[in-house]
Amino acid sequence: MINFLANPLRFKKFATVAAPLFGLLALILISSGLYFGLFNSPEDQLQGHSVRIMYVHVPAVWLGMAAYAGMAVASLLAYIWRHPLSDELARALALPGAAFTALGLITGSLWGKTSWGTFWQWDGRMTSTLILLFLFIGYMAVWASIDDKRRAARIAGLVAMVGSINLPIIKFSVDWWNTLHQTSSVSMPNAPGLPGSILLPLMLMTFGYTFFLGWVVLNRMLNEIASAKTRRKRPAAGSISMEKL
Amino acid sequence: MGRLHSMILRDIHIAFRSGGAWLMGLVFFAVFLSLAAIALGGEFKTLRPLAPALIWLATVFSLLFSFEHLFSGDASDGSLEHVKLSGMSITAYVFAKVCAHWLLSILPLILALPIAALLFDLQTPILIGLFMSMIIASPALVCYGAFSGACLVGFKGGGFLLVLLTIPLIIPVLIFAVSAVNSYSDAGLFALEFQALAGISLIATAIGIPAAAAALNVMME
Amino acid sequence: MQTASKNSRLLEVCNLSVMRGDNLLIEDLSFTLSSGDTIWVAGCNGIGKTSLLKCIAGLLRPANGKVIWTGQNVHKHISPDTGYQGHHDAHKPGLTVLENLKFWQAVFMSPIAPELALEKVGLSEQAGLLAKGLSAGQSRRLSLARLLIKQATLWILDEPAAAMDVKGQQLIHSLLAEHIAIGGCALIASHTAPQKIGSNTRVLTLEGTLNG
Repeated sequence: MINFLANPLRFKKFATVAAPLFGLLALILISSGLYFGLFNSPEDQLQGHSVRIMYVHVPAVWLGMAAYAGMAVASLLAYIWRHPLSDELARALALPGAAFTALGLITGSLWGKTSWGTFWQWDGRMTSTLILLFLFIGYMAVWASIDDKRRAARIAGLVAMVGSINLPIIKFSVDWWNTLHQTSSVSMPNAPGLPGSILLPLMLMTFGYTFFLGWVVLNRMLNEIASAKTRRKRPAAGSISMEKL
Repeated sequence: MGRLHSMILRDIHIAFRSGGAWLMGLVFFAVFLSLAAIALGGEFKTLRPLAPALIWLATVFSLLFSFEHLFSGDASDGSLEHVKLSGMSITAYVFAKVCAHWLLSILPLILALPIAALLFDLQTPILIGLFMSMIIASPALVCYGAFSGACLVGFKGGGFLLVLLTIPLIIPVLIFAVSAVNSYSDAGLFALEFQALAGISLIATAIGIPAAAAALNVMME
Repeated sequence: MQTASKNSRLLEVCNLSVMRGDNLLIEDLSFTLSSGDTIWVAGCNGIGKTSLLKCIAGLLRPANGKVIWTGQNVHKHISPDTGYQGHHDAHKPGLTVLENLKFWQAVFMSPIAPELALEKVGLSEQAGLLAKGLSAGQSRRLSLARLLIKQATLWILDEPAAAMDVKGQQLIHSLLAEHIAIGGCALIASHTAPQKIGSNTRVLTLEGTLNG
């Protein structure tokens, strides 16, 4: 399928059809996820209703991480095969990924206020998510700072790849640091054995966010392709002649 | 081998002839620690437990601003092109630059550790912990810094973007280095922290140097 | 330098297109260079001479086409048998003239003593002088000394006569003549009038309007 979509023309056709479809799916999934999460799921023994923030917060953090992983994979493909669409995919993932991560941080902060009493805690998840946000900002800053966009794509790709190799290391070190210094924070109930009433809205929101990401990314890529066409100026080179002296 | 040797010696030569500019990192290290001690009240009781963290922060900050100029000299005056044309691999070139940078920026800090220990009244095990953590973790710092420096060669916008790019990569090093200092007295070099630090340094060197070379090649094209 | 037999095809440029940013400077250029050949590249400022030379040296990626030196694509394996002189002299100001050359001798792994090269370009007296004390013309001579140390078969020179006085220009000419005579080849971008060197000298003229 990657090879199929690698052709820019075919990609454009695919994206023009798929994007609104993804948008619609996102709308449906997110609304139903919110409904089930807000009205149909159990409250937590300790946290009461505020645990429902988890349905917005947890998928946001997951999507942030997935977006970064996607950026890294797209960058790797771009590096090996030098396909401009891969570069565009990586670039398109950055802002929405950062936005999801920021959403994760904000909702995490709000959730924390209700359960820890403070708007921030240096726990494992918040700290890792904050560092992920820095990684996103750094990546976007590279694109913005290098004028030659071809070069920017290559360098940003390297930054994404090196950053992604470090993600597990960062996660490992922050979790370790957290167990050493902080008391474990209140978090979502453990995954194995999650009752369906919690699992359903969580999954709905996760897939909803995924399609939302897809919708945003496809639109950004289409925009970039369109503006690149108008931007490219290739004036005919002048003449070249070779004579013997 | 001769090429690497010449490259490292050249950088050291240039640094020595630059009239002390290479010692700025050491000066910053000293200034930072002094300010920290003064700001925190100057009592050893408060300073001693904070010392490993402060010393490591001083190290990281004194390094961070030195990476901007790691490659910019050779890139802007055309030397990098000649190096590429000599057939020397850019990876070997980066390795040489990293070695020279370590000798010029990290070694002075390591040698200054006993004085830092004095400033904070640190016991010998802590001092040795500091030594060991610096030696093991410094390759990671230098290699990731070199990578960011290579990515931003020629970028005029100031060192802050470089700091932004390098910080996420350095956080794991910072976390383990500071804990390692304290755990040296308990478990010596077998502590988990030292093992983690060694692993991180190994990965950083294995990734950072080729990635920096790749970035330099991109910037030259 | 490889002892190349006369008339062996050393450099092949095939359908080369060179871009600088979004501008297409050179399109579909093909030519060959054999041992003993000289090509002068002429054209006004900004037309693409430097980009073309850099591309042929292997320092700039072409938009299209190939550059082949003795059978190898230079963009896959850059050729150390190329001597390059660009706009920047690449001398470290904090090192002496001799130290600069000794460094390059080590990097190029060359058997030629730096002192001999200095003698040839007339800088023997400046050997102990810090490079920052050199005049522009002397700096250029030092670059020529580096070129001599490298012992490369292909010389790619970008405006070698810039900042040179008459004596300097004569020096360049004589060095070039010697180089061509022993079987080397050269590609030179210059604003000065092309001179005949060796038996096969050509002029490549780049013309055209510059857009954007």
